[in-house]
Amino acid sequence: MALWRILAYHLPENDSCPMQDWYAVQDEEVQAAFDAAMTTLNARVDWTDTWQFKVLTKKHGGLGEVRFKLNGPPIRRFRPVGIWPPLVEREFVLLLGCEKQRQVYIPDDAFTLALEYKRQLEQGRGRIDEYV
Amino acid sequence: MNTFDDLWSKLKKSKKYRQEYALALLKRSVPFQIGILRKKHCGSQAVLAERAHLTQGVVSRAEDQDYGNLTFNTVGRIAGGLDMAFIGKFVPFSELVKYSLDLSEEEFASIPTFDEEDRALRLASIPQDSGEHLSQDGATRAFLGNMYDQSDTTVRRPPAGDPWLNSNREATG
Repeated sequence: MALWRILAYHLPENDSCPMQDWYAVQDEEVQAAFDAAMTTLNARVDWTDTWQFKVLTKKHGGLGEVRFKLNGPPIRRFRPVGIWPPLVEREFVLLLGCEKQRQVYIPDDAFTLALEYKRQLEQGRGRIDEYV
Repeated sequence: MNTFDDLWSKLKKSKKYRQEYALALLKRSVPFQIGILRKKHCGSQAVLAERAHLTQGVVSRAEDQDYGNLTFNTVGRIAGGLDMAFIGKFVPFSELVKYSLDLSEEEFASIPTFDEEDRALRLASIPQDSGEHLSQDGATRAFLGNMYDQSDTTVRRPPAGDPWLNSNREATG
């Protein structure tokens, strides 16, 4: 029984899900690595006690990133981003997927977009649904 | 991906995905277990390293879910340092799905060391009317929990003819 409930954000404009859209275009090795990373995260009560997850601060405060990599070559690092709904324990809402190449993120505005999605969600725009 | 059907439908997509997911989960779940067990039984990586006759750096790598190159030798030594066993076995994908859905830190935190298990086995073999009390130790109680029926508090005793347990009963008697 999973300890966490994993959800995903859907845009208000067309109900598309940025996380699912990102996942769909990844190759199967990345998809499998992400799913396995979520499986082991789901097995932990406290996500802050592992390198697999990082609570972001400063201008990205309020966001958290799931961290996993493929050893390649080349090594590829991934940082799907999400938030915790207020007042609900053990729920995580995935906002979008993201790859990190050195100090560059793909998409390059990933965290700005994530903060925008967070703001929209807080304003009641868009919806969240089970992440499958 | 919280249900059997969710994960099964992903595994059905392709053999490539199945292979990659099984491999990724293997590489992640063993370091996950080591981290949970090390914190419970040893505290620091240095303590586990000393008990397993490894360096702290090797233990650190063994807990890194992204490392992916753990050897059986290292895992076996770490199991020895924890005084428990590690078994790898081949299973059908339905078992992988069940394992994925049931994976939790609580499951591994309740694995007893050999000494804890031995104590539990010896306590379970003490006659119920002997007046001796079961240990209040958490791991022992967790282990003993598996020896009770859900609806029945009667201890499931080992077969009377089990020579190992009988010799222990005599020794502790």
